[in-house]
Amino acid sequence: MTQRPAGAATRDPGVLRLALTVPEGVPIELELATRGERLTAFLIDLMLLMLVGLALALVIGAAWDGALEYQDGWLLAIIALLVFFLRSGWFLTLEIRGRGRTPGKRLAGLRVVDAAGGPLRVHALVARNLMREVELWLPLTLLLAPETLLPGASAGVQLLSGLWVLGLLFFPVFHPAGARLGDLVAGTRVVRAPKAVLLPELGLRKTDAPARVFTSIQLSIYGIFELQMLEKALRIQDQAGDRRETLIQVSRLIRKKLTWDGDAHDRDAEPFLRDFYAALRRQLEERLRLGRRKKDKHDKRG
Amino acid sequence: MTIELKSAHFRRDREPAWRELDRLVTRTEARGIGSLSAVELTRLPVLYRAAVSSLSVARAISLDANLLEYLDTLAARAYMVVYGTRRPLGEAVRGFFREGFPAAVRTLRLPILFSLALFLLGGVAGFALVQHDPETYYAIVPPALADERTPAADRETLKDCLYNEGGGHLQAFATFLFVHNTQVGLTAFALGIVFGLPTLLLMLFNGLILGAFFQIHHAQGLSLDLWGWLLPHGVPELSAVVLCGGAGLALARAILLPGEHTRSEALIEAGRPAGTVVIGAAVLLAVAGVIEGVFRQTVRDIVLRYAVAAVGAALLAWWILAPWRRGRA
Repeated sequence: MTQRPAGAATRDPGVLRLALTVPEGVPIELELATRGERLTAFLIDLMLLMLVGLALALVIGAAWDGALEYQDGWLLAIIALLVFFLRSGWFLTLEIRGRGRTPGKRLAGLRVVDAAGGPLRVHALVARNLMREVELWLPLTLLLAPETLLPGASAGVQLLSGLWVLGLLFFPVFHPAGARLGDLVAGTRVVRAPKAVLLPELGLRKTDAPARVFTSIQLSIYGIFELQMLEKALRIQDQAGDRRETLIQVSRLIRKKLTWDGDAHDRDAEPFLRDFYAALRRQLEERLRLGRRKKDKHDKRG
Repeated sequence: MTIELKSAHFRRDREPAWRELDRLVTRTEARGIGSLSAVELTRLPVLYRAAVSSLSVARAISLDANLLEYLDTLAARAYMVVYGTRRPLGEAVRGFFREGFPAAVRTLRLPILFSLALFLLGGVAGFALVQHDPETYYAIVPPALADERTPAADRETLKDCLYNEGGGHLQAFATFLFVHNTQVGLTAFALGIVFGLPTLLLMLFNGLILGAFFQIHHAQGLSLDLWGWLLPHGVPELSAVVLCGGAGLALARAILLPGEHTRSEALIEAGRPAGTVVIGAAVLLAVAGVIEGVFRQTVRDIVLRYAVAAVGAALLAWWILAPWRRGRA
């Protein structure tokens, strides 16, 4: 059973998440890469592939004109090997070298992980990249040059293969998590390389002024959801200058709800909220240690 | 209310270790694991485990959303660094040859044997078809492959093809053949995902060609000479074809008959060894290419040809089976 982390409320709700259990037995959640991000990463890698191919073609072309003679088809053989490498080995080499990150993935801020939370092993990378043969190259060949694969095929066969090709090419569009065939075969997923900043502790008092005291009835109104919304408000970075205004609004709301009869000046909105936050968090965390998780203000268990 | 929150106290105690891990992970993400010193390298797993345990404690005692998200993220990033593929390439290659490939072949032995059976079935059918009606040969064997070797060719032409192949073009031709065969092998594997039907046909058809090819030589009493010509490179090459087919059929089996697993579990269980088998097949095809390009035109003695084929087969069997024996002992 994966327990949903308490911090989940503050995260981007539009992104699918991958829950996995690391070998130490603790569940963590990662954000799955969107299809757009993966397409971006793929196109960057493809562009690199074409650049390398072009560079090689130029070098070989120059060598051909100059010193090298067309001998025994050797040059053609070398070209065949290079094309083969670019087609079947390019993505695999990049991904193994980058430990699950091709240059495209790096630029798009993505990486490959084991879908079950185990270590990412080379053979998983091998499997997911070998599948590009039917996911990419075969569809491309069928679309661009069908006669090389199906010489003299009837219209029916061409239609069928066309449908099949579209199915393979657009598989990630239909998969609920946007995985491609290679991900399914290898048991991998592509996730966003996560990034988060640890902000200062809010539960500490900065002033020497005596803390406001709340009654246990006042502290039993709200639940975890409201606590974390309050945290979010207190953590607003003051850029547009609306932080003060927000805090005043919130403090008025809470004072009313608590029927607070202490200080009620807008000037003290932030110190008041900080005190209330610390007191409420203490209350809810103590309950949490006793195994009572009051989800929100509607939750009667707290 | 001046007593510190328990969760704030917890954070104050552990924060330096999180920050240290954060720095190491950030550096590794940017510049690779090689940018860590030996000391840092030993610190990394310790700090990672501490962070994971912090995360699990924090979930039980803290309601600070920012802290929880930070620890979740830090643990995830560190997990990817600690459990990412970290083996140097040389070690990965050694591991592949010593355990990876043989183990993968043994895991997939059933689909591989099935692939072999299909191939042999195709061979028998090809032989029978051409024996029954030589005209079918032209329908089975592509003209580019057949060249002069048709049912209409006399014994001398066939024998000449087996012993006196054209000079310098052969190495380049062998390279093309390697590329082509590997591409076909990759396709045979990857097509397994579409329920294996194309893989099945590919195996049967490859067998058909070989069977038909064998029949025209057999009809002229050249069986021994043909196998002497074919087997030195055929042992690795045909094994590779069968292995790739088996890898593809393993994927198909996982999708069609997942057994007691879910389809996606079965697919992963088949997919990872299948990829390894295909890489091994590519190695075998490269070996076949070398034998074809160098050995076949320089060695014309039939005994030597058979000896090489036998040694090749023995080496291949040893490669796949030897670690197994060690494991059982």
